[in-house]
Amino acid sequence: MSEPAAVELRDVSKVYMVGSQEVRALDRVSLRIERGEFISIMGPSGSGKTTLLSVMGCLIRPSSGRILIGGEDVTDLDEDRLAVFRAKRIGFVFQFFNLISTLTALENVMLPMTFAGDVPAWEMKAKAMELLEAVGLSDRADHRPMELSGGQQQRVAIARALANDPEIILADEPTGNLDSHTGSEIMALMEHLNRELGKTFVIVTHDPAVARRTKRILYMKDGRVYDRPPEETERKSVASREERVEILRHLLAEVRRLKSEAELASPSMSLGELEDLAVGLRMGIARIRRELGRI
Amino acid sequence: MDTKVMRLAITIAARSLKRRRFRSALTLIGVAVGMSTVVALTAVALGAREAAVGVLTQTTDFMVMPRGGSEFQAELPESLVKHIRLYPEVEMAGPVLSQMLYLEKEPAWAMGVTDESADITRLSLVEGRRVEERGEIVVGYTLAQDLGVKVGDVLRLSVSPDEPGTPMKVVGILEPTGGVTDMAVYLSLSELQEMVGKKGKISMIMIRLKDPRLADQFKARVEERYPDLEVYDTKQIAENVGRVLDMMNSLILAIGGISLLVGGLGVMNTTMVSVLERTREIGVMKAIGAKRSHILTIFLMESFILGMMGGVIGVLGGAALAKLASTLIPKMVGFPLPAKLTWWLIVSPILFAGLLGVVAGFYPSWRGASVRPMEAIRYE
Repeated sequence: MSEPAAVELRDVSKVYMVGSQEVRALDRVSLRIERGEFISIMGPSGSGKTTLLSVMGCLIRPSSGRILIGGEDVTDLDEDRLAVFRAKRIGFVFQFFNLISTLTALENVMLPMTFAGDVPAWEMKAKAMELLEAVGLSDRADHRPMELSGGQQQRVAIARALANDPEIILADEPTGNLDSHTGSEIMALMEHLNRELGKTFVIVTHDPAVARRTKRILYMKDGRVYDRPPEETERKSVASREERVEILRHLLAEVRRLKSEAELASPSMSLGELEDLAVGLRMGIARIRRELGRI
Repeated sequence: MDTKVMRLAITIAARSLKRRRFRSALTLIGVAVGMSTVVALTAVALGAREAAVGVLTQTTDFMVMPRGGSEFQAELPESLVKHIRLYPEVEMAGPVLSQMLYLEKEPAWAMGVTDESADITRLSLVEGRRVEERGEIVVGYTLAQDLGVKVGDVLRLSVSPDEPGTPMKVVGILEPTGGVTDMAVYLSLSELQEMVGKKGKISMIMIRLKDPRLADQFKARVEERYPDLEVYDTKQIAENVGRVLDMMNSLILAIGGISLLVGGLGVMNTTMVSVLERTREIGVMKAIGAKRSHILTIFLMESFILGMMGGVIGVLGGAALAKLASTLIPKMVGFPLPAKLTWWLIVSPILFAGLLGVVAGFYPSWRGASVRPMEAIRYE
């Protein structure tokens, strides 16, 4: 067999139960991302790309299918093992930077090493400093996130993602909260790290300008992954305008029901139920937007 | 436990507590108020026990006092001594008048004694000699230390702190006993009687029996002849006082329990709010590799520090309260009540408050540790 892929999904589905209704956020997805790839995942909101990223990042378990990271099957690891796995093998970059506000830039970069627990303390600091230098922020090491600009915060987050030399770095709309100039700089930094260090990057975005800078683009729609943009028009030919309005009315009613359910959400509801509600709402709203666009 | 994670937990906890100064301060006060009440009450109770037990057992075996009275307020005719001395069981009988006075404006327990009463007491001197004539005093150990007194010094003894008082020469200093005698001033009985205008009056009579086994017989005979008098066996009094103080201890425990509950609920609430407002940060930490135990450590550290600091403030406040009580209570009730702070009364509330923090913080911290890593990608 050839060299193991950085990420491999085999027939992965993620199903949320929203009330009595089944929402397929991922629908039998299989894909392979090779080591050293610089790849983006595009798709409208509600298409399942965040779910895909979360499954690849071992943040949530799939309902079915297998996940292999660097050739290792992580599907059945328990909570603590998954945490260690994430600490060592996966780096995350988030849309809202998500630095820990009470820690300095340097301490934030040291965080994954602290959690992984196998790097001696003196080495942690030196390594973190080195990484801050690599993202051009060694002079901001002692600054708190509040004292940094958005672009600087995202650089720190990228340094943090690199802390334990992970196989892959998963970025969720990394430029989504930055102006286009700063966003372009962040893209350039990630391109550089991919080229020079051979790091694998998976970037979720809905910005075509970001996607164009990656070497491969995957498209998502209704929980499925495509190699090329799926036909937007396929359904227009099938359904008449009247039918669409009917579908829309249906959807609106469903969203309204979910909304009232969410408003009644009580503390006794489990996190899972709340999450399912939230996902259902978001996907419903996204579909309504899309349908409205077609009418 | 992993030292790196501990260090991280301390850093995060200290900075978040500092950032939420007002909330942290309120929680600290909640813990500290209860703790200081308990510390102050315990210190006063301890002092009272030592004072009561100390003075009674260290000075004499038996005392004659008015029935139901206390030695501090008792008034007996001095002539009674002669009658008591006539009982065949009695070897020696010495009159004592006790009174609150001020030595150099410091409250002191003045004891007017005669040669015979001085013989009966078991108190010995570290320095100098006993009182032989008017104008001389023997000073208790602590009082001498507080005032920096040496044998040969002249001090002013007054009935109230505002009076100039009478100059008295220090001729001796008592050995430390740990009781009220440490704060006492001994002078001649007649001089004290004149000073406070109680000529011919005494508070009690100290007795030494020829044989302690005659105690019951002596007690029965005196109490039959003088129904208003009572013969006290000091050991028995000490036991009675001890019983009263044990009741006080139960009271302290009850107050302590309630204040701990209140303080604990405060810590719990603060930690819960802290967890809720940092849900996203917890999610992020979990996403980048924090285990459940790491998050638990971080939040438990926060509630532990809260409890511990509350304990420190509580002990300081309690010590101050106890000090205040030991200066105010004597002025109100007319006898000295030294508060006593022992090392365990300082250390154990702090440790206990720390433990309280951990216990109270456990549930919220556990909730925090159960936040799912998915929270990191939550949309605003």
